[in-house]
Amino acid sequence: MKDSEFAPKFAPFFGMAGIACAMIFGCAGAAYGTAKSGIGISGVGTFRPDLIMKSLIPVVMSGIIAVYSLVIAVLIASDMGPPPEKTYSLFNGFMHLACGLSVGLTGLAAGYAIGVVGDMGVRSYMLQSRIFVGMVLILIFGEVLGLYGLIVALILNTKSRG
Amino acid sequence: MATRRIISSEKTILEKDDKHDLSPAAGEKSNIAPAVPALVFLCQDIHSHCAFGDALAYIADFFDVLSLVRICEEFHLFSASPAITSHLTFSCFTCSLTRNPHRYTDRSPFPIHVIIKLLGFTFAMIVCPIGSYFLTLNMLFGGNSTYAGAFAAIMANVVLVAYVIVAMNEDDSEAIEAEAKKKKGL
Repeated sequence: MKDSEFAPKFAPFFGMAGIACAMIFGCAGAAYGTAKSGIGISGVGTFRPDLIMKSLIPVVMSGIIAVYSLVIAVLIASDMGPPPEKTYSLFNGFMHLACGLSVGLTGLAAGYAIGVVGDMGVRSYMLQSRIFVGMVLILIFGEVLGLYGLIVALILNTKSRG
Repeated sequence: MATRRIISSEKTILEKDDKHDLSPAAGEKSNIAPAVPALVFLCQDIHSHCAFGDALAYIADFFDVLSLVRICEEFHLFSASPAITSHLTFSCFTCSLTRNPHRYTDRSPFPIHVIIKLLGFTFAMIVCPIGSYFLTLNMLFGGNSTYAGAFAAIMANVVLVAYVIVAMNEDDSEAIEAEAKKKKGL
């Protein structure tokens, strides 16, 4: 098979790297958020078991960060295929790498923010119940960082068929 | 300035009189004997003075049924007069149940409705986003994977919002119950 100028043999490498980056960084952020806020929830749960249901919100939000990464990884994977049937240009490769990096690294940032805010916010909520609305708002703003990455990745992904 | 050695056995003048026998030393077992003996004497006292059933009902009302059963075993009440004791224990059960209906239903650490809710949300979180992606990819958006991906992200957020609403309602209902209990107590 002739090596095209726009679709070299190594182009899929970048697309695959994009998939891996999306999943690895996004799940690292989600894992940090879950673990860090889980520490706070276990601390609160020993004193106020009735607050556990409300305190689990940071964990659910961390789960959503991982879902964003999963969606982008599935999206990129559906655009790729083995070479003879499908030509995969270098542009697509770099674009998918950008998709994966943007959703993965914003997921890492959002997961870190959710973890720290979730840990401390849940502990403060045990002492002062009026902090709940503020805590949820801060968590939403933290999670929106991951959403921005997802939006950029989705917009980038539309450029593959043009 | 020389650094100070820190050795756990050395005590400063401030710590000299501190009690350290509250927690057991490493390797020793902690004292987990129940605080029932005092209660048993109380029971003996009541039991010798007034009617049997009253004593047991009194104890069952202030403590729980488990400690009541333990007291009964302590005094070999079950073997002494099984018919009477079973009758009295039953009456204790019913009387304390009617007085405190929540005590026995709330005894389990995880109420079943909470488990159902958590399992439901876990299942929804796994299935909803990725399932809606593959469902709508060809059925609704005609193969446009961008819209399907955005829809999946929206579904994940719908699950989150639903969780927040359920969590708020759950805790509100408990707070209302607690308030009602307080009012009853007053």
